[in-house]
Amino acid sequence: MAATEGALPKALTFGASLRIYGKALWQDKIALLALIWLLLIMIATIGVDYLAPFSPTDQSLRMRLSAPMTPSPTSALPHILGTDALGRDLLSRIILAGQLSLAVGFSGVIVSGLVGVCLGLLAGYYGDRTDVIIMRAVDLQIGFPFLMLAIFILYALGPGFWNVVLVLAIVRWPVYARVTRGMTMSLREQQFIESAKVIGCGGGRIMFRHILPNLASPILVLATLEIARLILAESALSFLGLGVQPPGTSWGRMIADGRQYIGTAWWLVVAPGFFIFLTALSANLLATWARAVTDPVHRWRVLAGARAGTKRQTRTTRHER
Amino acid sequence: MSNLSVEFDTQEGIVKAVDDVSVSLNRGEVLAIVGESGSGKSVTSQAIIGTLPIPPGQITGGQIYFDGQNLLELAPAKRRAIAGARIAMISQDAQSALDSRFTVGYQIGEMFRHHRGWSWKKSRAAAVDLLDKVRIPNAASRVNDYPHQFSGGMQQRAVIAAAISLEPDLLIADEPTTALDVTVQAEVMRLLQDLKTELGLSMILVTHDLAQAYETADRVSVMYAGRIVEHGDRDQIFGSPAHPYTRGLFAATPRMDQGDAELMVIPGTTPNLAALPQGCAFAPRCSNRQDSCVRERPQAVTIAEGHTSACLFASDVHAFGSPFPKGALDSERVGERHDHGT
Amino acid sequence: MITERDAPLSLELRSVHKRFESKKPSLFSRSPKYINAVNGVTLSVPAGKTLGLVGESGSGKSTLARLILRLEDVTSGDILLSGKSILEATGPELRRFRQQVQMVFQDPFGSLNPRMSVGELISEAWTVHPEKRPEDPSSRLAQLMEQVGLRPEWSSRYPGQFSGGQRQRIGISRALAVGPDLLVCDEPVSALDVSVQAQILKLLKDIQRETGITYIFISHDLSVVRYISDHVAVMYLGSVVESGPAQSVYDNPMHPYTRALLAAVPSFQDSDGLDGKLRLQGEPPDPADPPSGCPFRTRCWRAEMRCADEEPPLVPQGEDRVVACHFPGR
Repeated sequence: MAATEGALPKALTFGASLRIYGKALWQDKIALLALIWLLLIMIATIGVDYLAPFSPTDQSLRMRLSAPMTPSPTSALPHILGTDALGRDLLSRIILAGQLSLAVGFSGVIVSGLVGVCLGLLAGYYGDRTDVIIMRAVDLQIGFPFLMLAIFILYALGPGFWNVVLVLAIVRWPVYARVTRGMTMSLREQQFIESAKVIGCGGGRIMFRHILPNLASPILVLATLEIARLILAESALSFLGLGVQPPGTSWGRMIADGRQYIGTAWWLVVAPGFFIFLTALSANLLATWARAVTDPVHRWRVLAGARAGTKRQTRTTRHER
Repeated sequence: MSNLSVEFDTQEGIVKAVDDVSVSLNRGEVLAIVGESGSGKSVTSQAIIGTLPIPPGQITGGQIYFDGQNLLELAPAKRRAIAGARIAMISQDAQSALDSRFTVGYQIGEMFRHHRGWSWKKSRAAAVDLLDKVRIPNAASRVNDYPHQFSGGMQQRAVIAAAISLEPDLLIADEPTTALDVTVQAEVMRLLQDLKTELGLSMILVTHDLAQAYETADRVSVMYAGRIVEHGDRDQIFGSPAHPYTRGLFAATPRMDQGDAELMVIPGTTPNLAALPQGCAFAPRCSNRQDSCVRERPQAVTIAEGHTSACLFASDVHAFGSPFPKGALDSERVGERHDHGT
Repeated sequence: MITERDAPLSLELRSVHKRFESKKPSLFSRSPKYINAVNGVTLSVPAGKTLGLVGESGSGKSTLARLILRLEDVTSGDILLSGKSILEATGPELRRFRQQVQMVFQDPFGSLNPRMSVGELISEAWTVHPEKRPEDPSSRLAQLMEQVGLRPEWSSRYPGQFSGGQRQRIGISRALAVGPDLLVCDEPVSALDVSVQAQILKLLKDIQRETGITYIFISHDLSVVRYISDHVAVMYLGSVVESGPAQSVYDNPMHPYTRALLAAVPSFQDSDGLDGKLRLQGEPPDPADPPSGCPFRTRCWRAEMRCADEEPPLVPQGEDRVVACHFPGR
């Protein structure tokens, strides 16, 4: 690489690599918008008490089912997205509901990811019977109808936040297990795993210290995609009345509640639906971008453009030099 | 070929993979291009045959004359016609050169159908002849085999058969035996040599193995960091190399006849093409380095007829004489050479 | 324990076999197919010396290395380290074995975990074997890196930043960290450029001179093996066909395969090029379907009826050499 033993390519400090990723993100405006939207939603839902234009629980029967942009008698701000059947400000309700929707999404991804990745590592690394048992469980799980499972579990345990997370984890862990197993099996054949065995590493150390770090980026990309999917799944459960119970609310629950007014107050369904759509879309777009950046085949093209800071189009060629 | 330059647009900036390279080859001759990884030897051969990936690669200067025609100025279709029929290439990886979905015979016959418009039957018969020519036993039945039914050595033979099918004038062999076992390697090289004589081929042999170059080539070009550092007849290069890099390569190659005698080591590693020093690219690793080497990029100087070296002190280096112990080059061990048995 | 480590270590292989199942019994074929990757290898490696293991692909030399390192299980036979079988070792015994025997891998790019820094890679041995942890790990790390020609200040860099030769140095120093007595090198220089290859070979020799470590050096490159080895063993189709002191085997090969192999290496010797060379017919047979009798007979120019009927045993041929041929040296 270098002409003399003394010269090595400079190591990137954490700050420098962060700047490069930042620049790459800046160049991909769609991914940037997606990230901004997700950040906005997160900040808004966390700070709902301070940031929502109205109290999400204040009822006003006089203002019930007002159309969007109806001026409010009590505040300078209008009801931007209108009000619901109890006269509560819809935007504020959506922000409050987002708290639960996102929380379910994140917790579901963390729980299902932990379970799926661990089982995938075990199956991929040990192979043989361990593999057969775990992968049969995966097949079984994937073949099982999602709604039936959800109805059974939520009937048995009763609806509630953690029970919904549990259902989602049970349904989604096989996705991680499959992906992790596949990548583990190909990594297992690499010489550095053999080298770790020769040094004397045990199975646990090899799986978590040698294999897992090399899987981190594809798993993170998958997890981002899964957040979008879980938000949608939670909406479906809540819509069916299996998810969050009043007074708690989530986006899916809001659509369910607004359904009966669809003829007269369409915004009760459309507004939360739009938030679900935009959030899921943003998570998907961000995941696509992250996949391109972390994929060694595409990465340098994305990053090289960012590093040079030029407006050169990234060329698509098969050949890498 | 003269003053050829090829650049690559890489992550680390524009890289000059081949810098101002000139070589020429006469009919029936074998030219060996010797170099380590990153020396530009494969890129040079790709540029000649026209398989250079563009972009990121780009030919930034120079001409490639083939029979008086500048290949780089020809229209792509015309160029392909020449490259397909008159220049052929064998690459290192026979496995990827053959398509695993078709039989070997079909793939060789394809050359005739495509280029000459022959019938199925005629092409197939020609394919059998060719397989026979590259000494695949039982050619008539093996012609219907799929590539995976062939061993590595036979796959490489089949690739050679396809390459010589249109009776090319020039054969470019890019590390043709690197992936093969020693005994198979010797047979493939022998086959190439025999074909050369038989068909009157010219050949460019790209290799990292000095001994292989010695056994096969008439003339040798040694490349380092994208440039030809030394060029000459086989006997000139091996008899009395005039570039410290060539000399260093000889000294660093373990040889069976030298037993466990100490190897001379070239310090450092092959240079990063994106960050070449200003002076001689080899200077940082050179044991004869002088101050001027670091400042000045040496141009090729002629030492003897047909023998050039890009070193500021070429004639001094040349004066060291043979890098081999006396007599090692010639058939001194004739007495020990093994007869073929009965 | 200290006295044990001072005792000269020697490795002995006694008719080691390794059989792989190439085809599981299925619906259509009842009987499973087997490949004898290693077929009755008996060898010994004296302490402080280098045994070169030569052979072409499919000769079983890499499988043999994996058996010695216990990355695969032996089908039959025994491997003894200082007189004790390593095959039964489990738990603490296996850990001790891992401290005694280490390996350098072929692929400088695949054999280092890209997500671990050089320092972590080299000192991982101490993390796994806390009893081997030096009193001052950072100075020991610096010393190890200097020993293989790496700068200590590079310890926080990642393998991706190094060239092939430098990575191979990292791999060597990683193997040396536990202070092993035996180092198995599986084609350690075949992926490197000539100029870098010489550096690594020299480094290995220097380390042996300093520490008295024992090497098993596996390579398909006969010139490299000649340079580094004291003893050589030539393998063909899972068996050792000839072994002995390097100089004696190279100067006077007795097995026809050894002769053919030596003759096939490109060299500067024959001024008339390839024509003066021994020719071998055909290619190595399929290990799943080996010939009867002598494994080499299908390509041998001296083969007679007897070679097909009985497999030649390894017979001593004076001065420490053994050859498995009915007609040695003729």
